[in-house]
Amino acid sequence: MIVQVNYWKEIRKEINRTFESLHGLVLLTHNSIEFSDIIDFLNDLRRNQETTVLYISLISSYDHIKQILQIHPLPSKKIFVVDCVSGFLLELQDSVQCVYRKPPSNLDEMKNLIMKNIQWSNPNIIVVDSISQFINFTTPTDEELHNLIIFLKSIKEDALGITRDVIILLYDDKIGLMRKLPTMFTDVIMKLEVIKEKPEWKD
Amino acid sequence: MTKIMIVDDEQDLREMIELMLHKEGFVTNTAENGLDLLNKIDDFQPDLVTLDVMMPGLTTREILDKLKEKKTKPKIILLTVVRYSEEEKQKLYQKGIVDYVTKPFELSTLINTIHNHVLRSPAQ
Repeated sequence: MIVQVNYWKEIRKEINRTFESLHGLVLLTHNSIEFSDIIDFLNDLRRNQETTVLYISLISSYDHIKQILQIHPLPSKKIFVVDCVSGFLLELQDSVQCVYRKPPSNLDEMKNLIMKNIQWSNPNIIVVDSISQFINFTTPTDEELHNLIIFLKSIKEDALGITRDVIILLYDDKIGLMRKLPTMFTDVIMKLEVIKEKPEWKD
Repeated sequence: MTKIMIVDDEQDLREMIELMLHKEGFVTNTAENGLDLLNKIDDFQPDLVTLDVMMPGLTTREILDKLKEKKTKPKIILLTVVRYSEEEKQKLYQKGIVDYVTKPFELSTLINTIHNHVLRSPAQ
């Protein structure tokens, strides 16, 4: 008897299962993904539910985010943005969906930024893009690791208590490979690898 | 000789870029933030400045505004992790920025970008 297995379909099912049940504090490491890849990821989360996303950006400007959202929409999600980068270069006014803030200079300030903006946007999903700005996991100092643990613990206790859903912390591993994963206080650690090269099939 | 000033709050990166630029035959100087740049610029008179976007102290906007008051008018290349829209990039060019390099970058990318601008307009 020959049994045919569609591995790709099985993998897709498993991914969907994981995404549907994704909950708590998620550390998502990646290889310098584009904002459009993050949109694809968010689209798979709570796919059929109306959800609100608070996107705290230290990487993409709101203008850039808006442009990408026009091409890659988030159909069942309402997105609010805290843009921590544009104000450094350009004079801009807050709008209904975006506020411009100075970038936090440490994880403690990042936590305060999250807490203040939870009240404004009332999100189910919070995305911080990214914590690579605060820690380089290749050669982290004891102080950086200590601060990270305190940060993870406090947002898990305070921010998750309010949103009761999911907080995603992005980490770009091109900045520094994560040798020791901060498993304490994180619920899920995921690695997203986007391969842009065209595959060469050999029959 | 073309003079380049490297402005970055990360000492390791500053030193690494400086080493590479020396090898390429440029005369270099460094500054650790915007204020340091403003204090040194008229003495060193760089042809080109590589400017990190997010540093403690003065914002890039403030640095660019204060540079207008200086005698020296270098070309500026931004080093940034930020992804800008096309419209925003045009606004940056209007502010006197000639190019930008997205972090993290290969040093060869930065060197090529610098060569693009100093080759077109060599030091007087």
